[in-house]
Amino acid sequence: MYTVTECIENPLVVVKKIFDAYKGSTNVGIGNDYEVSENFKNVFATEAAIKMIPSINDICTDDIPSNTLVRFRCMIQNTGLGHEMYLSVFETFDSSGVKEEGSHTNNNVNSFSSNLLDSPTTVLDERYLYYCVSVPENNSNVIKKRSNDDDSIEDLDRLATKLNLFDDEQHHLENHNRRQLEKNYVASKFPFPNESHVSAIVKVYEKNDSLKVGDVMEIIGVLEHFTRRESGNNNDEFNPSNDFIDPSSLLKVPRLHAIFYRKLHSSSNPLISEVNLKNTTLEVQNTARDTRNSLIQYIASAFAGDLLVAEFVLLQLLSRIYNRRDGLTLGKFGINITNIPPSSQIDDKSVSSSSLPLSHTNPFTRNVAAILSSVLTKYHDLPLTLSTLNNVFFYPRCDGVLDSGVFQVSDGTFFLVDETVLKEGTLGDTGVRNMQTLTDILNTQKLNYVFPFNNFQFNIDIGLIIFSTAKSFFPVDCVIPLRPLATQETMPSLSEETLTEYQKYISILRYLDYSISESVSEFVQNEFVKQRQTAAKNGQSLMTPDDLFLQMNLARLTALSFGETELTTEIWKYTLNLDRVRRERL
Amino acid sequence: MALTTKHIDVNYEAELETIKNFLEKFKSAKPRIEVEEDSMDIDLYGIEGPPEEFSFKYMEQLQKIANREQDSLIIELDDVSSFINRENNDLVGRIIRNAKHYIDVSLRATDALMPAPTKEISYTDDVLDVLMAKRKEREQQKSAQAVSFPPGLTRRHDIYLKPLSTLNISPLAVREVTGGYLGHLVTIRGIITRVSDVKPFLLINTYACDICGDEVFQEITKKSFMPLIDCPSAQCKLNKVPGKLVMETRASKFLPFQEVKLQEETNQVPVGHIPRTMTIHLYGSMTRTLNPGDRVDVAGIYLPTPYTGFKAIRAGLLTDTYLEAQYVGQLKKQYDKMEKTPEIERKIQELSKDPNIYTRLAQSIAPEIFGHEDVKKALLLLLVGGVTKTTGDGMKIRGDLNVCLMGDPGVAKSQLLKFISKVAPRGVYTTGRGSSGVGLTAAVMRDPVTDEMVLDTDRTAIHEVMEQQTISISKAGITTTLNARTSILAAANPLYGRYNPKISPVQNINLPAALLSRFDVLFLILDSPSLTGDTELAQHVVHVHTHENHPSLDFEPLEGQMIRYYVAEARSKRPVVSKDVSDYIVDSYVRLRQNQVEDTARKREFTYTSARTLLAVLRMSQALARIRLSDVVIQNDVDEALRLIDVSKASLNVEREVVDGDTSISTRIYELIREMYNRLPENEGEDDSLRQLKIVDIRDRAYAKGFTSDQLQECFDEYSNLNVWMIDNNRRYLTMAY
Repeated sequence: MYTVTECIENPLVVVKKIFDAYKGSTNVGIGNDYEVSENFKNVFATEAAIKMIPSINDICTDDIPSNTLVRFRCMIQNTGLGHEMYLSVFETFDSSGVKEEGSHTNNNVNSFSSNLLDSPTTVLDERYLYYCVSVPENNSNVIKKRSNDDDSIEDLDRLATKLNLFDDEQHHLENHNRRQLEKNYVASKFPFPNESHVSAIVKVYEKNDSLKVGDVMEIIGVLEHFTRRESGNNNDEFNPSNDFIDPSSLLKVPRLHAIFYRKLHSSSNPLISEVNLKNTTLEVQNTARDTRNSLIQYIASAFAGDLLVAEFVLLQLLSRIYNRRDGLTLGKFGINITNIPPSSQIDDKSVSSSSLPLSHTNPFTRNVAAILSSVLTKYHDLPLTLSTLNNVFFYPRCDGVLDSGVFQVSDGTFFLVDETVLKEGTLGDTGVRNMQTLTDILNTQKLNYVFPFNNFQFNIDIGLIIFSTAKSFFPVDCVIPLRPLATQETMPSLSEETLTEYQKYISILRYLDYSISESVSEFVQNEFVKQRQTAAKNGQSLMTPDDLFLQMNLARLTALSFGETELTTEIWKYTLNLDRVRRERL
Repeated sequence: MALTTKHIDVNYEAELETIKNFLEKFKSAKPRIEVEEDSMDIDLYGIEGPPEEFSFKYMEQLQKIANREQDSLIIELDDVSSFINRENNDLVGRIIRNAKHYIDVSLRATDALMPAPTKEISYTDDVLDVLMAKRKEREQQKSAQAVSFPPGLTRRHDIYLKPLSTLNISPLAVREVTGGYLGHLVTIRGIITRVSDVKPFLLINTYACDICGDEVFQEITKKSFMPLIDCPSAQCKLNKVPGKLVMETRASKFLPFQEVKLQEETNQVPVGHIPRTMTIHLYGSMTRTLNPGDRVDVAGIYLPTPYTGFKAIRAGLLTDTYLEAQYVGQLKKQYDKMEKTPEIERKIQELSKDPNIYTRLAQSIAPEIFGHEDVKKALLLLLVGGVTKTTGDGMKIRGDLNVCLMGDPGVAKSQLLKFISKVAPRGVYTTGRGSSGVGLTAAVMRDPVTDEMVLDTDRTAIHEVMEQQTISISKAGITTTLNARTSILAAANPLYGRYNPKISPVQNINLPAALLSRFDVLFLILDSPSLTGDTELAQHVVHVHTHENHPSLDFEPLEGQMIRYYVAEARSKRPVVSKDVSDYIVDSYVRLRQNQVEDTARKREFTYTSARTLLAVLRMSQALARIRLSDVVIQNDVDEALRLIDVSKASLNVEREVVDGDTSISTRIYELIREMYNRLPENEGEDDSLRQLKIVDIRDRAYAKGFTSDQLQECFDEYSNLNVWMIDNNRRYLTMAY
């Protein structure tokens, strides 16, 4: 058995040992599969052991020496890099005679002797390349939260000191700052422009088609740096293959040789682990009604005390696409809140500068954004100014190596789209395409990746709340006009525990299973028929199937918001009432 | 899937002989007459060439190469296979697995077999020729220590391999080309996304020594090479003063070289993945054979390139891979030309025998939306379309159908539209507001009345497309008009939320009448409550939410893909109209015009029967014939087309069955009578007596509903004056006029 420290500090030595042990134990021809992952998984069987591994989300990769075992919470940005071939088993001839090496070690052999390839024991193998970026989310918020999260940061520090990564806390902070300056990433590969993030090219040593674009996972692997020596010499020799695609931009990205990986809970909420999911769920369900009320109050504080709007916002936060079949997208719930006060002072300078990260400028929207980002794990601002529409790409596009777009995010990311900052003007090609992208997402929750001569549609699941003064451009599922009560309430400052409670509430309830019993569905059907009959008699407007669709969806979300997993007639009536009050405002 | 290297025991000298033998003796695969064995003795090098029946395919080509009329030789593996089979030898397999090496072997074979030119070759043609002539002269003088020229320098041709054309080898996707294929001849399918400039690629570098004047040749086999510095000639060695070598660009041999990127196509990429690309290298005459946007099958040799220079230090034992192109097969450029598998072919034949195919296809359009059968039929006809004709004087008669659906919100109009846009091979779904064409700009404006932001989109483009079947594009000061063969399927919501039956469709939709008249068929779909319909609707929606799928249907709908194949097949037909049928159409048209006059008299026309209607009937009849996969339009097709037009008109003329409070008493009585009339059994024969209502019956019903005798009388008179119905002189029977 190998120790945790050994595995973290010198994973390659461990791999070598595993290889030697495997070679000793079997006479069968040597393949690639000598159970490296299994051995490492045994060592890191517990959550505590995994927490010992330095995470490159928190520590700048420059401060971690090459060939250290690291972990990386990331989203797959590109699966199109293909595979590369490498020598998985080979012999080198040095002074000590024949020495055999295993995988994960490509940078150990610098000399390329010609007799190497001819050796009969040489095994050529393939590994699969993925470009991964840290999960696109509200950065500041999560880092803050992680620091408060149990004792993992303490472990990290202890380990880091051991690895001589940094001497004291001061240094630690500096690292964070330095990460802002030194970019070990390619900006265009991250959904949000001009935002710092971590990225790596992950090399997976097994063929696995289930790793898809947008998947969120934690990779445990061996870090390999780009060396400064190369950075000064990116212009390769006269190499015709560099003609039109410049791979040198990818060269500075650190490599991660995956030893094993695990997919994360769909909410990407670090507070939730699969282990105690059941207990947490029960706990959240039991307190759901109380949490619901106080959470609505909390959200309403940003909406000038409008509880109805707050309730609809809450329902939107609980929505997700729970099924797609035969062209149906079940569960989509894009909402549009109208009558939002526009920004009084027009600060065109900050708006027009496209080099700034995407963030809201309307003070009203900013307040709402603050509330949303405090209760959501993955949230981002999206102000729809003419300059963002025309200069920022909302959709991923490929011109060589795939570049990201704002909506290339993992499932369960929320956007607050602010239409109030949009001024009259002209949209260029990008602007028109961006509008189309947003429309497509609201219609089908599908994102078009633009490739030369081809377009590829990807299923996504993101939450959209659109703010506008009058009716929005976009085809939303539900429109609610704001009725402000108070002039402007002061934002309540809540304790960490309360916020954590809210976060858990949303992260858990959003993914609950839900069902409708036969009797209730019968009831709903009859109500619908009755409504149409009476409305026809009284000359009122008829309920359309679309209305019923919306109400069914609302009912599901309402049930979940109460922690219920089955539709009851009470919840149905509550929903109808909610929808009626909303309609009265239109 | 580890790959181990293995040693192959192949005697390349023997292989060389086999290939030589093949090139020398292979006869064209398609001789018109089976040739006798002894015909081998024919004089190959005769100026007239061998008779066509048994041409020696490769030797002839070599002759052309020697004569400088051809610069590449394509060895078809099909030929090798048919030649070799007699000898029971897996040469083809070995070539495929080790293609690069066998090309070298073949080059040696052709060098040995190269005939002398049969034509006078002017040595002034080419710098290399001039140099070669000079070199040969000098060699003869020096005679003794002959410096051998690298064969590549004198060689005037390349050899390419054309893969086996056997059907069961389907081209690979980029992601399927794994390490196991290294060195193999593989065929890859994809779309060309990028093409580099054609650049010279150094094949043989020539140096001249500044002391002894010797020419030194260096064969370049890699992308990078180390230039020679010291002269290796015997003279310089003897003098012990190594001469400096100077590169002679003009004497070196270059090859055109081009790099191309091939990307996977949509159907080759698993869901949730990004398409992969592969680099393709084109040399010599292969350059300029690929253009961006081409869908191609490229056969080539899958080869590794070890990283060089600094990259090698970083990459270590990694290799990049590329494909050295050997043969390019262009696929059809039209996306709607679909390749049919034999199985689909069989299915289509099977379907075409189904007498109910028309109904079945129509039902399969958006099967989850029930009802609207006639609308779906019209949509099916839109997919299939009529025949576009160009008359002698260049006038084009549109064959494509345009359909417009109008009606209340929530009647599944847009679902129908989306379904059609998905099934149509090149359907585009756009909405009027908030979207515009790609590559265009749009203006964001604030509506002063509603304060809504709107995107200003241009509606004039659609007019032009529908009226002229052309589209004008103006960009960068240049205006061009392109032909547009499109069918327009439009859906329109009423101007004020709900459809108002009291005003005309034109007023309801707020679209110009000129535009509306371009639609062959207009349907008005109203949302009116009905107990059974509503229950079904509700059940459907609730079912979807409860069971997370659509309720199962009472028939088996055809898949979208199958509809597409069938429509493609149908569109390949060009049905003609016989004399009888055309007379029939004319008669029907005259009758329609007659009805039009009557309708106008009654002031209830929303549509207008014109020559356009006649064309619409014709187009729809043709589409119906196409659905039967027939080449002739028959009378039934015309009847069905007329019926659809009738139905569409009837849909426009309906009056909302809602009993509004403000409806006059006469109208309410009329509704009552109309309802009674509709309940009458269908008249089977010509006997009209069955289609009469007894006044007594009407009276009973009217009194029961609380109407007075005066009111009833008033209604009778009012509608008789309008010619809606006739009441016989005895006031006993009422007959509806239509």
